[in-house]
Amino acid sequence: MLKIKRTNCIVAVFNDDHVLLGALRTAVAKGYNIIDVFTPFPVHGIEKTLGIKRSNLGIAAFVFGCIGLCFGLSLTYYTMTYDWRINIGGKPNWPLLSFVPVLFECTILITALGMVTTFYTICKLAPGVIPVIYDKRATDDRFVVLLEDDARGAEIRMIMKENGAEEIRDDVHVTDNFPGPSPLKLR
Amino acid sequence: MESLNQKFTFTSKTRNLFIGISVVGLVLILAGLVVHKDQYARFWANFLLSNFYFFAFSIVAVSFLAIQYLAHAGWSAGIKRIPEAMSTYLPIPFIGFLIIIGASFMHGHGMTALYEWTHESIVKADPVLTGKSPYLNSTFWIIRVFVYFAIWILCARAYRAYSRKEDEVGGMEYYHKQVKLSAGFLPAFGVTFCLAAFDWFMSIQPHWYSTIFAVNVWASAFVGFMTVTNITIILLKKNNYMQWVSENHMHDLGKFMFAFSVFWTYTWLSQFLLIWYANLPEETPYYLARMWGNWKYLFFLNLFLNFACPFLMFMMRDAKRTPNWILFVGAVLLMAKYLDWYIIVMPFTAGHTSGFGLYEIGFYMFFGGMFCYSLAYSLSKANLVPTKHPYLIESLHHEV
Repeated sequence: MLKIKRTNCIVAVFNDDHVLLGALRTAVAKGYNIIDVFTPFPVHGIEKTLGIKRSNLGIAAFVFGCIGLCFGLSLTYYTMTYDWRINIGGKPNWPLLSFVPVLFECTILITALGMVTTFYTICKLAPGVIPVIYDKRATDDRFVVLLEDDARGAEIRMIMKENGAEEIRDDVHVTDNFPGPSPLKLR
Repeated sequence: MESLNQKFTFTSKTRNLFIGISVVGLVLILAGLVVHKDQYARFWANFLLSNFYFFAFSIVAVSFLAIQYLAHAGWSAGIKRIPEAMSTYLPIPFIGFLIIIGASFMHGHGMTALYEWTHESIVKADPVLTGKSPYLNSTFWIIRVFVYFAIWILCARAYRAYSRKEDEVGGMEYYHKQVKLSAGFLPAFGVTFCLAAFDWFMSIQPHWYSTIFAVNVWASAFVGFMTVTNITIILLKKNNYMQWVSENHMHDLGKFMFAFSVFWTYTWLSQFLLIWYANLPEETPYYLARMWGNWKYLFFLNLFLNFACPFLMFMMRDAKRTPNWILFVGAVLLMAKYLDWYIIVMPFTAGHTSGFGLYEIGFYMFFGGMFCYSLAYSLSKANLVPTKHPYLIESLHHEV
């Protein structure tokens, strides 16, 4: 069952990463609900400030790698040994060592494809998805913070302004529980 | 954070430990002369192997400094005194090679025990060796040893002298000097290290050749050097030195250990696969001797220890940030590097007399003790961190 959740939110725009980090520290200390932060480049220490855990993508990559290796092993074994044996230079029937490049490439291929799929699924991206952009300048030179507009809304606006936000706006944040790309966002 | 003006105190306890290791090694070698009687080839093969083992780490340390300067790397500024201290060991392997050269005057010792091409009668009877003799002859070999070590020791001393001078005067002057020195040293190192690997290891089988051989040896040496550096840092930290070095630095060194273990496998396979697949008579003897018979267990153990172990044990991020785990993987890698070169040196020098006995342990301890002593001694002579290095602040705040 598709559940859509709409949250009123405050968009605070900063023009410096150090100012942004300071404001985020204050917001975290005061217990405001930070929905997301958009920055034009990776800001050092932002994960620590926001308390974001390291992603498990690495483990997914390892699993995909193992699958790819097994795929490569079965492909080479089936084609070169089981289905149609060819004597090449008097080498053994299953010349594993000469398949190392093939096994390596299969591992890389499946890992790459699997990781792209995983990443797109987690980030709810797909070709044709209309990206939700709260402030276009976040792709250029501004740092955009999305805060939930709860009962303390007025206080949040004031504190963000005090901490160097150059602009404060209201917006609506939409989420759904659909795994992968959101059907609502597709063209 | 405590003051950066910190020096390593080389206590008499550590001093005695390192001297003790060397002395015990020497005693084992002397005992070996009785136990492994008349196995001169094995004696000299072990001399060469253990001498090269610690030499390789210290020369790669100099090249690491050169790479850091040319890349204007900031993260390594806080730990660069350790490769610097390692490089002061270089005169000792030079003396080791002088001993090998000197012993050659006795027939069946030194070079004559190690290298087939030093015997004139064999070279004359063999058209291939005759063809190679303009390069592969004793006189030119000895000249090359002197040239290599002259370049290496001079540059290593220059790096250390500039770095210590920088501690006093500060500014960018000595940094720029080191960048210039690196631009000259790195290409020279590439050529000399390759030729040295060809001269000392590959010419043990003078008919056999592989152009990627030196890269493979270098990759081993680089992993070993990174391992020694990482272990040194952890041991120093455990003894309350260098508290400003964080797990981020260890993580980066660990990444080097991991990445170059994979690179070693890549070069190993590049060398092996082509020879195995093409099956040409002049190339196969190297692998023929090692893949069949008793050597095959060590041959595949080598691949397991040098590739599978670090690959699986060091892949996770947390593995590279846990000091005790780094010590364990480091110990495995140091053993693996010994095995890697053992397999290169032994089959055609010690041959059927090779094994793992008093000579092997003795020579390893003898040179290892001296290596540790010179490392600790040099660490105690200068600040543990180059206090006026221009990138020091960046290094202290390094985060990955």
